[in-house]
Amino acid sequence: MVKIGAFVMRFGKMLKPRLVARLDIKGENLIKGIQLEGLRVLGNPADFALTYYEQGFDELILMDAVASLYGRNNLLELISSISKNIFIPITVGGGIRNVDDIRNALRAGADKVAINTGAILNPDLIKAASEIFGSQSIVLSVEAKKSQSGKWEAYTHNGREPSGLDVLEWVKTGVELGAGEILVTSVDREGTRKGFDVELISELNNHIEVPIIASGGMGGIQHLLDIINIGKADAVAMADYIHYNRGNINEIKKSLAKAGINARH
Amino acid sequence: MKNSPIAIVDYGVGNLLSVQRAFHYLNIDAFLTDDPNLIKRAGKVVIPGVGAFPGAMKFLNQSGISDEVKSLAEKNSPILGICLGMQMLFERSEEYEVTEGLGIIKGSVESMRRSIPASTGIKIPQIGWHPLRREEVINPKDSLILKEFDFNGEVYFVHSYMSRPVEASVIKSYYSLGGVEVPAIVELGNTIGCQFHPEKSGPVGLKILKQFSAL
Repeated sequence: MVKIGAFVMRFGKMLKPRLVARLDIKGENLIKGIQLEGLRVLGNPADFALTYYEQGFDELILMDAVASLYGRNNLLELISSISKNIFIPITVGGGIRNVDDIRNALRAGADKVAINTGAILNPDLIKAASEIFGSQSIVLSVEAKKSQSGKWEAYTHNGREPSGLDVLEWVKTGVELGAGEILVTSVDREGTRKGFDVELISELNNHIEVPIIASGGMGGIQHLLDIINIGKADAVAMADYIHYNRGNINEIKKSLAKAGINARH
Repeated sequence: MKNSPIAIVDYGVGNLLSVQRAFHYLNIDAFLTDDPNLIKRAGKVVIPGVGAFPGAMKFLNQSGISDEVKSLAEKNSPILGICLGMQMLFERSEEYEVTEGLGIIKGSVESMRRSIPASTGIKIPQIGWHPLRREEVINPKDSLILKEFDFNGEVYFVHSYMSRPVEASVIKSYYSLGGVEVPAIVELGNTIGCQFHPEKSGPVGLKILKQFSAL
């Protein structure tokens, strides 16, 4: 159980954690999977996006779940259409491979791009992109899976391909190259509803000083409290928890407030 | 001229559509342009916040937009600088390398790490929602842009650099970060700087854009 007094003292003027709605998209559909496999179609992404904006989420992440099959990001039309009436930051990811991909995504209405495979294949992309578009537009996306050594390995292709890279080292490199933010998806926890990988986020916070968005595993409010209080995530991405309507933003904010954590009104 | 179409500087880089879309959503006419003549004709300009200081200033200078914006400032025509756009209103910035800005407002732009060290636990870039508290608005009656503002809401900041105006009187609102007062809104006549993104701050931010269009 969270002790409110201790946390208020320890965190004082803790900054408001950002609550992010994450949409994984395949073609025209919002999808959801268990551990990045086994997909279920949930409906029209634009409708979900608008609902989450209106309900009061702080940001949206749109991931093109099949981009690696086509070698490119296919969400430009979607971004273009939802940015007509959604006025919170939008991050888009999946298949971002070069500066032109980034330019196009931002031009269509995205504020940030999340890059995973593209950065592993060509780390210089982060450097070039942050110089052209600004560090704050470049999010290093990492799919982390715990390996037998007890460390985490970075994966690509929706958690299927091991890269051989140690997550902590890779993230450090990414920040040095200019990434302004890190999106960490736990391949182990994603879709399981068993909680975030708190240890991973905590370790990352010991290694780097840029904001971290934790993704993967939310099953209930206590998981959210743990990833914020113990993991010290700056932002938390939810997918399964909200798409299946097992929780909504108002309940989430109320629960956070009860635990002494202020979210955006 | 009130309610005339607003020119939005088109850098050719970054997310420019959101600012335009926000105006359109409010039924306000706004168009993207890199032509200083069209900016002159509009008589009202928004400088969005994209990219990094040196590249953005290079673009403004080479396109002739710098000169036009300075000319608009002299005529006290409405200018809104958003995020990086606000920073460029100042004399210089140290982002990547020391680069000269538009120099419309006296002061410079520096890395937030200078005043907010890593030991505070505060991360840079600062990405998050902060309220502009009523008591932190230095003189609300003085501010053109904060009329009608919802002080119960929050606005979205994402930046690693902050402005240091020479005259404190240009700061109309700030937000507190690690004990430092980070300027959020600066105003010098009809030249307005907004460190946060009004086009990304939900309904609360849209009011800022509405207010600007009425100048």
